[in-house]
Amino acid sequence: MSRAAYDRIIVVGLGGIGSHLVEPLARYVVAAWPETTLKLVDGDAYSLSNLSRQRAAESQIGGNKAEVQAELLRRAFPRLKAAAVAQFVSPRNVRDIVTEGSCVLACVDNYATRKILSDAVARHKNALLISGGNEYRDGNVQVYLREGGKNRTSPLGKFHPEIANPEDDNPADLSCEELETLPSGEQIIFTNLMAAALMLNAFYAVAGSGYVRYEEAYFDILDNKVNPVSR
Amino acid sequence: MTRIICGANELEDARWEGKTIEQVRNELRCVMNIPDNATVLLNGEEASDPGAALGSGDELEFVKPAGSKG
Repeated sequence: MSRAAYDRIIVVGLGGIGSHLVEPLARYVVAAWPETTLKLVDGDAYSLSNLSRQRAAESQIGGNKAEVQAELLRRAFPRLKAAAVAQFVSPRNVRDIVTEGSCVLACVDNYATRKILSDAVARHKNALLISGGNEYRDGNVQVYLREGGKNRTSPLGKFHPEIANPEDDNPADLSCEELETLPSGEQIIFTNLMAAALMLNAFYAVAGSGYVRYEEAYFDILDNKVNPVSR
Repeated sequence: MTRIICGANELEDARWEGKTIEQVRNELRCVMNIPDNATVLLNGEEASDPGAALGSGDELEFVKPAGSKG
């Protein structure tokens, strides 16, 4: 059994991508690194419209996404150290969530939160951020690795002005009424699954094997294409 | 050979040598789904001059915006 490269693994966003990513992630972590804590972070609750894409049951509608998934993981893996934070990530709480030596998997649906997480990782000597997002048929996964106080790969916003200067809202700044009226856009579960799988591949490559050959991977599920890019 | 990248799409061909970034963008806009707001990188550096010509071995990337949903 190898020693974990990261003491804490944090999954931010337990929706279309995150709800599918946590089960295999937990399965790996509890077997390979049983001392590692898996922290799930989301301020949102499951709704009926989520069930066509997200890993949740009708009985869990209304439940906080982080708490629902943490409970599912504890039942499946009693030895797993799983914790839930029922909050959206914001500038006010990010220092408590992303600490030195963290590995963060960002599965969020807005650029504002990605910038907050990327800036938080940039403040640490050693931390890893893997961020995934998608549209209807395509998407991308970004890998931002800090080692010894230096960037091994680019921060999320370096080549992405939409993240460096986000025009969307951080859900932490919105009221419940505003959150309910946010357009979710048309998505399909298969695109979410592809993003989740590529994020886990990047997690295994970097955190599990120390293998960093790309900083971004684009995908398109209709063409079944993946294109890893290094810069 | 010149390599052109946009998201999951990638082309490698010598016929782009000598063409400008703007010409390549116009010719491949539909074929490679190049967004109007894509950041342009030439050999990993941001390219500010759309009139710059591509040479052999160059890599031109139109950086597709990150997926907005999750």
